[in-house]
Amino acid sequence: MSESHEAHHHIVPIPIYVAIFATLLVLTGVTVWVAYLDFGAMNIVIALAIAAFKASLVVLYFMHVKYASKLTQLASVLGFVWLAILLGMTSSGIFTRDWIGSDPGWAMQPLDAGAVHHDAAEGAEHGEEAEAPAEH
Amino acid sequence: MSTDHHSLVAHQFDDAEQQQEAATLGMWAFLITEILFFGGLILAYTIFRNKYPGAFQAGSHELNVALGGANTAILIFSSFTMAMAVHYAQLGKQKLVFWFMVGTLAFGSAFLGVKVYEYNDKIVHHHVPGPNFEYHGEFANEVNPRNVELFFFLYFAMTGVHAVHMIVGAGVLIWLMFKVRAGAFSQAYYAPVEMFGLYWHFVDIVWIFLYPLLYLIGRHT
Repeated sequence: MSESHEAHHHIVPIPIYVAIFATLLVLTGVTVWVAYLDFGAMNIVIALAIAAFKASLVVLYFMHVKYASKLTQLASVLGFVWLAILLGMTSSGIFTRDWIGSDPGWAMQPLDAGAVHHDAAEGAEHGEEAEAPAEH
Repeated sequence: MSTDHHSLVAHQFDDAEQQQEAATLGMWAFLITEILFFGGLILAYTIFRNKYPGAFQAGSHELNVALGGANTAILIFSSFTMAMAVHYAQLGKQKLVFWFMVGTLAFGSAFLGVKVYEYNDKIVHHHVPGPNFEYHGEFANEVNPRNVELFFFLYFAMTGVHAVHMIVGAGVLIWLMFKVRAGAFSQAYYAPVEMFGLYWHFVDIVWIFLYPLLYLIGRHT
C-alpha cells in the first residue's frame, strides 16, 4: 500500500509502536522502583538516564526522527544540545563555588541569609547545612 | 504527484515531499524554542535543588507518587494513540485517524482531571506558595518552610505550564478532529495531523522528565 503512493514516507510497522509503548510503560515502573532504592548521589543520575532513554525512544520512533532527513535529525538534537549548554555551563559555576573554603568575595550569598542563624564567622556554607540534614 | 494534487502543494514548493520537509523542519524549530522555554524552569530547579536539597526532598514527599505515576502512564497511552492516528493518516484511513484522536483526547483529559485533583489537594493542604503557605510535613523540624515553598513554586510553575500545553493541545486536537470529519486530509496530505503529533509527543517528553524531578526526590529515606 505504501510503496505505490507516497513512497518517500516511511511507514513504521504497528508492532514497533506497540513495542515502544510497552517499553515506555515498563521504564516508568523502573523509574519508580529505583527511586525507592538508595544509590546516594547516583539516584538523580539514574532517574535522568532512564528519562533521557525514554525521551529518545519517543523522539526516534513516535516522532519518526529515526526515519527523517539528516536536516530534521540535526534540528531534533539541537534544542537538547543548547539545553545542555544552558544547564552545564551554569551548573559548573554554581555547584563548584562552595568548594573554595574561604569566601573570595564573588561567591553566591545564601538567599535565606535573614531566615537562618547567621554569624559572620561561619559565612555562606554553614547556612546551607542547617537547611539540609535530610541529605546524607 | 504535484500535478495530481496541485492544490495541496503551496506555490513556493516544488512538490509535496519538499512541502512536508519544510513543515517538519519548521515544527522542530518551534519545538527547540519549547525545549528552551521549559529549560529556564529546569535551570531554576537545578540551582535551587542544589542549594536546598532537604527542602526539595520535604516538598517532594508531599506529592502523591501513585497519582503522578498514573499520569505518566496515561500520557504514554495518549502518545501511543496519537502515534497510531498519524500512522493511519499515512495510510489514508480517516475513520481510524478520527477514533485514535478520540482516544488521545480522552487520555489527555484524564491526565488533566488527575492534575485538577492533585492541585485541589495542594490547595486544601495550604501548599500553594503565598501568604497562606504552610508546611507541617515529616521534615518540619529540619527544613525552612520558606524553601519548601520555593519547591512548590517550581512545582506549580513547571506542572502548570505543562498543563497549559496539554489544554492548548486538546483544543488543537478537537479542531483537527473536525477537519478529519470534514475530509480535509488524504494519503497525499496529512501534514497538520503529523505536526500536531510532534507537539503532543513533545509534551509527553516534558512530563517524562518532570515526574522523577518533582515526585521522586529522596524517596528511599
